[in-house]
Amino acid sequence: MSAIVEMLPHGDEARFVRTVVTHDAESITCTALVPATSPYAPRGNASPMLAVEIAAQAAGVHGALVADTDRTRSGLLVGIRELELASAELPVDCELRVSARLIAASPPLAIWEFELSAAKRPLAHGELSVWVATA
Amino acid sequence: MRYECLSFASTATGWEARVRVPAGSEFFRGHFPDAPILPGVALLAIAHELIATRVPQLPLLAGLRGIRFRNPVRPESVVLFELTRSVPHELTLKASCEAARAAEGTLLFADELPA
Repeated sequence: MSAIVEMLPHGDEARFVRTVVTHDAESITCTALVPATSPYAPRGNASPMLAVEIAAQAAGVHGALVADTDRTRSGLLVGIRELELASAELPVDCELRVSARLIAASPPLAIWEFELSAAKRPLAHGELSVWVATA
Repeated sequence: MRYECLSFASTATGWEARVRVPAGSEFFRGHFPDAPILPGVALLAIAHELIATRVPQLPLLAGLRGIRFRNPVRPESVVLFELTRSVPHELTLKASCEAARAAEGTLLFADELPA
């Protein structure tokens, strides 16, 4: 399995997904971490908006794992159908777990539902749409 | 500096702010190394910060609905945020960059979050 760094186009500072826990053809679970130095955490804990970015990165990693190429594919978050928060902030320097499941795909667009938690405590769930380069 | 708030004002229906995102903003670091664009969630985080730090007694952010990212925001852009109170506990967001819509959708608020 390739390293996460090879699966996402993000630089170190913007890459929050750390490891793949499990995946199959339509879903993925990853660990993630938001460092205390993140610009999303200017006053301690991080903006809950980051839940969506973490989920989008998990979807990107899934795309790399199931793709028949080693090349990193670019992707963009194009929409958030819904985000429901169970926490006003995300903890920093703490292992997070993100699970994402593909619920619709019409290339180059895909819709994922996701959940983010920390130590089994739900933080957020929602649905997002991503555009993935097909070439 | 992550961003510079150039102006913030109340309107008849909500709030309006102009924000410059400098090329050196931490939000651009790593996103992406060869073609920096502002992460969509950074745009949302800025919008929320703008009101959360300036509007007293704002309820808790509870979620988002129907957010669409239309055009990328590049370094040194000035973004106009228009936040309109549509119904109680909801703010409609429009973020524009040089007349092009960057993002739009609804921010949801609540007095308590689900346990």
